[in-house]
Amino acid sequence: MRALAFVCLSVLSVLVLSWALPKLYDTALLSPLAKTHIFYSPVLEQCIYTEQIRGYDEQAAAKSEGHHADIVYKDETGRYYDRLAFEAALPFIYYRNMEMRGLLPLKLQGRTFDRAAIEQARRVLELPARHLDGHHPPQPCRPLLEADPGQVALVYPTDRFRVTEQGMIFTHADTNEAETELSRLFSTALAARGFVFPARHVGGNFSTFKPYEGGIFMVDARGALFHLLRRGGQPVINKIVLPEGVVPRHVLVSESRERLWLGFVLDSRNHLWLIRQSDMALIGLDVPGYVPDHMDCKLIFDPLYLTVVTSDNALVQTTVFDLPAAERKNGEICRAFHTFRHEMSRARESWQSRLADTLFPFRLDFVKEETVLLRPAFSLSRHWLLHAMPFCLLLAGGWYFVQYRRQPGGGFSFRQGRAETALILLTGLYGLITLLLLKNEA
Amino acid sequence: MYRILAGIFFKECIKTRLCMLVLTLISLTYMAWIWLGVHRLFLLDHPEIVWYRVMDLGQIPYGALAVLPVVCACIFCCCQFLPEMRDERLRISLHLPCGMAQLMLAHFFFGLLFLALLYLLDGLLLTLMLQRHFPQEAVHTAHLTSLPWFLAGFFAYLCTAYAILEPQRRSRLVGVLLGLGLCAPLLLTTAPGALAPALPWFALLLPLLLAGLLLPSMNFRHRRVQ
Amino acid sequence: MTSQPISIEHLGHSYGGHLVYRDLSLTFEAGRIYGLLGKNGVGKTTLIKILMGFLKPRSGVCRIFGDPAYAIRPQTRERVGLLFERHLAYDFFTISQIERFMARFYPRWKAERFYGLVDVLGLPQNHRIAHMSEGQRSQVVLGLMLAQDPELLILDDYSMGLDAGYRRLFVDYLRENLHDGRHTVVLTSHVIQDMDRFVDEVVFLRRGGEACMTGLADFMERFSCYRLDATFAGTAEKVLREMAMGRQALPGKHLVNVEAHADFYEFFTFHTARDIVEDLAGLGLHLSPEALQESPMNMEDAFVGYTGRC
Repeated sequence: MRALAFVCLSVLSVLVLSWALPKLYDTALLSPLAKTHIFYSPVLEQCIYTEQIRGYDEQAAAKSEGHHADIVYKDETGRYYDRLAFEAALPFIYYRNMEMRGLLPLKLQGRTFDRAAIEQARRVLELPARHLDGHHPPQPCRPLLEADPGQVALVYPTDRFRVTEQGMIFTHADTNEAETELSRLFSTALAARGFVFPARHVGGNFSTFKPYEGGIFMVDARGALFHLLRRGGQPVINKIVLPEGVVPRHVLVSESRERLWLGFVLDSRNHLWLIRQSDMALIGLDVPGYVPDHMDCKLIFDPLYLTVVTSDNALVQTTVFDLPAAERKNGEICRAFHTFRHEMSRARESWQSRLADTLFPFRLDFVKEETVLLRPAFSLSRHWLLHAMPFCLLLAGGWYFVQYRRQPGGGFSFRQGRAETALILLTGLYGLITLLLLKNEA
Repeated sequence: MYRILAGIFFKECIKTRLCMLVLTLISLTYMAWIWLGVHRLFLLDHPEIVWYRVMDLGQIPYGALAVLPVVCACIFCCCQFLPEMRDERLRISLHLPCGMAQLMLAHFFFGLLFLALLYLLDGLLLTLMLQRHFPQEAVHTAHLTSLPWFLAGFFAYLCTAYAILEPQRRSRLVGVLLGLGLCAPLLLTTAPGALAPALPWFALLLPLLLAGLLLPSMNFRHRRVQ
Repeated sequence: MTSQPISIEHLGHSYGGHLVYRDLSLTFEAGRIYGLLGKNGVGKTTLIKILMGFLKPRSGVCRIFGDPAYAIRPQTRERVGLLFERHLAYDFFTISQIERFMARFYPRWKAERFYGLVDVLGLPQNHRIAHMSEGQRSQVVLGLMLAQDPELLILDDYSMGLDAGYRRLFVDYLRENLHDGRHTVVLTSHVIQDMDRFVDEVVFLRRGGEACMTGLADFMERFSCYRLDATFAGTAEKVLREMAMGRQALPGKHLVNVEAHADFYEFFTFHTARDIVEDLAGLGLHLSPEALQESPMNMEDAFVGYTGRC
C-alpha cells in the first residue's frame, strides 16, 4: 500500500514539476520571442523582415540606434538594414512615415502612389490557426447585422441566431426567447435556396466597427456555400458557385471601402480562395506548404502585390502574387512570382534553450500557439540523447551513490535503490526533486 | 466498507456540520453577489451589448466564482482535519477495527462528497442566474469555464489534507507544491471554456492523488517510514 | 488466539542518536495487569506508542496477539482497547453520539457497560464531551473502552489530570471490571501509589534501555531500604554523595541505588543489611549491620528507590 501510494504521488509530482519547472525557467531565462514580421519590398523586389533576437548580433547592434540592439532588420540575402532603411524599403507599410519625411507621392514601376491610393489599396486579412473551428471553444450563437440600418453607423442587432437542424433560430436578447416568426422567415428562405440544415460553418465579421455590413457566409450540411444578408429585416440569400472539388472549411469576411475582395475561403484541401465582392467569384491562391491547422496565415494587400505570409512555430514563408486582375474567372488560380522561407529567430538555439534541453528531459505544456483550447501535451527535449539523457544518468548515478553511502551494509535496499534510480533516469530533475521531498528522514 | 463509511460519515457530519452550514451560507451569499453583478450588467447596458461582451469578447461576469471552490475546499479541509490533529486525535479513529486505507478514504470521500454537493449547488445557481439572461450557448460555456474551478477545489481539498496529515515538514511541502501545481493551471485566466479538453486528464489525476494521500496517512500512523 | 497478548522481541529504538532501547525483550502474559514504570525520558511513552502501533521501531518487533503492533489486523484491533494520554476523545460528540459512533465498529459492543459508567456522572446524554471536566471525560473514555470488551487494554498515563476522587473511581472501576484473569492490562501512570491497589506485575524501565519485569508483591517483599545516619558516614561521606548523584559506581554487587539526604543515607537492595555492610567495606566504611535501619516503603518509595530520584 505504501509503495502504491508512493508511486501515485511520484507520478503526480513528476507531472506537476514537468509543467512548473520549465515554465518557471522560461519565465526567468527564456521568454518567448514574437514571430518574425516579413514583407515583400516593392523597392528591393525581395523579402525583408524584422525580428527580435536572443543574444548579441554585432551587425544588428551596429545598425541599431544605441538601443533595441535585439531587433534585427534584414533582407532575404542576409543584408542588414537600419530602421530608416527598412522603412524606406516598405513604403506601402510605412507610408505615414514616408509622408512625414516628404517621400510621398512615390514612383514605383512607372506608377505614382500618393497617401490616398496607398490607403485605398492596403489591407491585411489574418487567419491565425486558433481562429479555425475546433481550435477554440464553439460559440454558435451569432448576431446578424442589418445591412441597411437607416443611419450612417451600423446597429448591433437585438437578436442572435444559431443554425441547428431545425433551421436558423433567432433569440431575442430582451426576452432571451426564440423569435418564432423571424426564425421561420430565414429558415424557409434558406431552405428554399437549397440550404441543408444544420450549418457546418458560419463565417462573418460580427462587428459594427466596419464601413458596411457585407453579410455572412454559411456552409450547409452538404458543404455548399451560401451568402446571407439581412436587408430591411428580410433575408437576401445567394448560393455561391464553388469551383469543382472545393468544400469550404472556413470563411473569413472583412468589409473594406474599396469593395473589391470581401474576404477569403479556406477549403478542405487547404487552398485559399479570395471572394470577389462584385460577383462572389472565388479566385484561388496557390500557397505551397500551407497547413492551416498548424500555421497562421496573413494576406497583405498593397497597391502592387498580394503577399501571403504563412508561419508555424519555427518557419515563416512568404508567397508573393501580383494583384489578381479583375477579369479573372471564378475558380481560376493565381500563381506566385516569388516565395521565400525563413527560419525565425525564435526557433534558433541559444545557451538558454540548450540548458533547458539539458535540465528537462521532457516538459508538459497546455498552451499551443495554434489553438485556444488547452490540452496537456508532452514534448521531449530537443537534445534528449546528447544532453538530457547524460544529465539524467549523472543525477541517477549520484543518487544511487549517495543513498548507498548513507545506508551502508544491510540498511540499503538494492531493489528500492534500483527503482529510485530508474525514476531519476527517466525523469531527471523531476524525479530527483520528487524523491528528495517524498523520502522521509528515518 | 458500508459500516466504515456510515461510521466515519456520522463522525464527520457531527464534527463539520457547523462548518458545512457556514460554507453553504457563504456560497449562497457569494452567488447572490455574483447574481447582483450579472443583473447590474443588464441594468447598465442593452442586453445585446451584454451578450456581445460575454459571448464575443469573452468577458466572464461570473469570474469571481473562480476562487470560491478553492477557498471553500481549504476551509472545509481545515475544519475536518485540524481537530483530528489536535493532540493527534486521529489516533482514535486509526485504532478502530478496520483497514487504514478504507478508514482514511472514508474521511476523504466525505469531504469530496460535501464539496461535490456544494459545487453542485453553486453550479445550479450559476445555471439558473445565467439561463435567465443568456442563450443556452453562453450557459454551456459558463459550465465549461467553471468546471476547472470546481475541479481545482477538489485538488485543493486533497492537497490541504496532505499538508495537514503529513507529520514531516519537508514532505508537507509536497502537499503545498502539488496543490499549487494542480490548481494553478485550472485557475489560469484563459478564454472561456478553453480548458474543457484538458478536464478529463485532470480528472484522471484525482484518484491518483486520493491513493497518494495514503502515504501521509501512513506517515502519520507510524511516524517513521520504512 | 493462543498468542501472547504482547511480546516484545529484541526491540531497538533511538531518537536521533539518543538510544532508547537496545535489544529489549519482554513477554506479557494473558490475564495479568502490568504497570510500566520508569522515570521521565526512559522511553515509557515511546514503548506505549510502539505497543499502540503509532511508532514503528527501528529494529526488533512488538507483537500484539501475534501481529506486529504497527501492522495490527482489524480483527486483532477489536481485541485491544487503547486509552490515550489525557483521556483523548472526540469532544465534538455528545455522550450518546460517541457511543453510537463507536458501537458501529465493535461487534461485541456492550452499551450497558458504557452507560453504567457514564450514568454515575449524572449528565444528560446530549451533554457534549467538550464541556466535561477531565474527570468526567475519563469516565466516558473508560466506558467506551470497557464497552468494546477488549482482551488487552493499554492505558497511557490514565491518572493525568484527574483529582484524587476521580483517580480512585477510575482505578476501582478498572479493578472491579478487569481484575478477572480474562483481561490483560498494561498501564502507565505518574501516580505510583494507585498501582498497588491494582497491578500484578511491574516493568521497570531504566535509562539505557534496561528493563526488569517482576511481580509487584514479590518486588515489594524483596526490595528493601536501609537508612544510615549521616554521623556514621565519616570519611566516606563524599563518596556516598557522589554515588547518590550517579557520578561514581556502586560498590559490590548487592546495592541497587543510594540516595543521599541531609542527615541520612538510603541504601536500596534486594539483599540484607549484612550484604550492604559488606559492600560498603569496599569503600573503607566499616559498619556494624545494626547501624543500618530498615525503613518501610510504599510503592512510590520503592519505585523511586529502584529507579533513583534523578
